[in-house]
Amino acid sequence: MNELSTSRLDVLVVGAGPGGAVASHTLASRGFSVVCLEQGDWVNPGDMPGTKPEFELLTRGQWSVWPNERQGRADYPLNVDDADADPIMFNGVGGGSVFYGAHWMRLLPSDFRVRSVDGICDDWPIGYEDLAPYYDQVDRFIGVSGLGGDPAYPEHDYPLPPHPIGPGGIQMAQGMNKLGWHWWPGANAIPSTAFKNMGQCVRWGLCERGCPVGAKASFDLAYWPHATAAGAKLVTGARVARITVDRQGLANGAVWIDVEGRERRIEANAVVLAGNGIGTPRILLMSDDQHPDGLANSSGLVGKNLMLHPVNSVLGTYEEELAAWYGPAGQLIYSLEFADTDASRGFLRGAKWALMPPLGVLHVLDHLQEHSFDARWGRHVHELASYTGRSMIWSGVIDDLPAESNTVSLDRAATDSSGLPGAKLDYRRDENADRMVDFMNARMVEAHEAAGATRTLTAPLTESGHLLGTARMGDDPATSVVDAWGRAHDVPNLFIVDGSVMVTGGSVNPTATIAAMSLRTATHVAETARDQRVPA
Amino acid sequence: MTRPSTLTREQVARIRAAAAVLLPGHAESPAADVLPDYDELVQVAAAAVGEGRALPAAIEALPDEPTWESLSTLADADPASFEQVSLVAVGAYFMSPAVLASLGLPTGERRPADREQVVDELSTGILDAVYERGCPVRTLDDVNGATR
Ligand SMILES: Cc1cc2nc3c(=O)[nH]c(=O)nc-3n(C[C@H](O)[C@H](O)[C@H](O)COP(=O)(O)OP(=O)(O)OC[C@H]3O[C@@H](n4cnc5c(N)ncnc54)[C@H](O)[C@@H]3O)c2cc1C
Repeated sequence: MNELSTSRLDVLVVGAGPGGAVASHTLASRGFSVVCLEQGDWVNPGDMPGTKPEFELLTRGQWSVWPNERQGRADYPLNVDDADADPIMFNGVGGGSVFYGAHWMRLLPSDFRVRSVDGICDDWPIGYEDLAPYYDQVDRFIGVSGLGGDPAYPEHDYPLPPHPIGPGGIQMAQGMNKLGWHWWPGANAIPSTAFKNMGQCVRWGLCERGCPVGAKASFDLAYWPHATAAGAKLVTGARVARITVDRQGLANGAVWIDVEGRERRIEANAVVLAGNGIGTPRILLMSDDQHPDGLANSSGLVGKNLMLHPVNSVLGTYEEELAAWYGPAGQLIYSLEFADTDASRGFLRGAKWALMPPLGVLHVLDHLQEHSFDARWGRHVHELASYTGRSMIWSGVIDDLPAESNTVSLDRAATDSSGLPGAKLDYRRDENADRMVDFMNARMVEAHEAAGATRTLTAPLTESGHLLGTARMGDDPATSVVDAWGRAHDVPNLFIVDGSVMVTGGSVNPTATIAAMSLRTATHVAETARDQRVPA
Repeated sequence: MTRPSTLTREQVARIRAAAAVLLPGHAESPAADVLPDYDELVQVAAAAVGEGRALPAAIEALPDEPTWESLSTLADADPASFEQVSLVAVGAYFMSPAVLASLGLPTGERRPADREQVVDELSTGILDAVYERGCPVRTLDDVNGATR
């Protein structure tokens, strides 16, 4: 849409990723006037790199998952000089889900209660039972494929049948059975049969770099067409510079910058932030007109407790033909054997594992990157490459615990294409996470060996795109930024619906939880609209 | 396909010479420098990673007549340049349909799953052991018990 109405909206949503898409759809469907401002653009699935012979190289340049490498107009600089991680994200309609692997996991019941069960961190003000109906609703809406009955979870089922686990999945499942370790066919937000506007998955195997045929429930496809049909307006190329607040301390809209660099203003009765665990604190910290320390920050916790879910991974090569070029990727199988605390392991909490086929030959060869020149090149490249179709990768979602010293702040030395400050990350993995990484790597080697791998290669840690914890939820305004409904304690008509609100990160991929929480918050906003204080 | 880059013939030749050392061929796989379409693939690979200023400078850093030793020295002394050039060299090589075929890898096809495949896979009893072992984590009841 080009022209915005000048009258005041019911709800302004910032960010068109999963959180913003679900909130926009939910509120527009209930008759509210909704505008979503998104700094990036639409991506045409046909433009995705996957169908091109050079796709692996494109994903290291203009299609990189790292914004600092991509340096697109919509990306803002991330200063990671003082961070043990270089987070990945995508800034555009659908947000990170354009690139996501679509592993569709619910948090485990214990993930909400880490203080109660493990005596560390804090409990969430909500629990598994509060979110379960919203998980179900989102699953049905986007068409999640999976097999119900996993004994690790409270009973729930999926709307679409699971994908085949393939020869690699079978081989590994047999290995896991030998070890007596949990595994389950992958739950993926990838349609195993045609669903609404999405075609059946054709198993290109490149889900994590964008599905080139639009057969993945990225939220530009799975939610936005329905949100706009319900009346939500989505403005792309619209970068929010700050949320504005009236004299009563209520949010009354935003100042945003269009692609021509013009400053614009939009007014709304309520504001919903969905910029992700880095983008949202950035916006709050930039909203310093009346709040020098940032908006909604009386607790001082905006931008604190950043969690990034480092990813450990181990590649195994096999003599058997595994047809590892078959997707989805996506997870073929997952394991929750080590997802919960067992203090005898020497750390608290755990990691969910996902078994994935490699994305391509270069992805396999990345596993030689840490080797010496002599052990990496010549026959070593050829030998490892020859296993591309016969290799599988286990990767783990490391539950890094919240620490106030892990932060997002503004980096005024670097600016985005609109002249706004970049984000500076201070992030250090703690000893608990490091021990967990070592443990998971060793167990993954064991799993590969039990499945018959002839060689294993442990990769350096990488990033997950799980951006969490920087505007945490809680009942006490002194120790949290938003309440149990995602409402800012300090600003009663400001809501947050992305991973920022997560109190702990859990040991699984977060997007199912982000979407379910967004649905829950947006439903609450709609149901309590009559009592909502709005700007005069 | 990405529009080929505008590397000069000499620049491409320097990459090819390095590739001959890094990718000398093995078993069924041909050496990089004997692939008939290698030079064109290098142009596409260079464009795909983004030519910028860094790539020409990295190509310049290559030894004139690369050997195992001289490339190893470059990789130690100037890892950024080495990584840049080797990515293009290796990326171009593994774009070659002949090379991919030698590895048994298909290129670009849609392969929707037959609906029966997953049923066949899971109806073998492979999940029985998982059901028998039960829940590997604390259940909702365990958690609620600990919370009260
Ligand atoms: C490669 C990759 C693989 C992943 N795989 C998985 C997976 O398998 N399973 C899983 O659960 N999760 C996965 N994730 C994570 C998943 O993508 C995120 O959890 C999810 O996208 C978060 O949704 P969100 O709406 O909170 O934020 P985002 O998706 O990040 O969306 C935020 C949006 O806000 C916009 N925005 C930010 N600031 C501004 C501003 N100032 N003005 C206007 N717009 C703004 C951004 O441009 C962006 O589009 C993956 C991520 C990546 C990158």
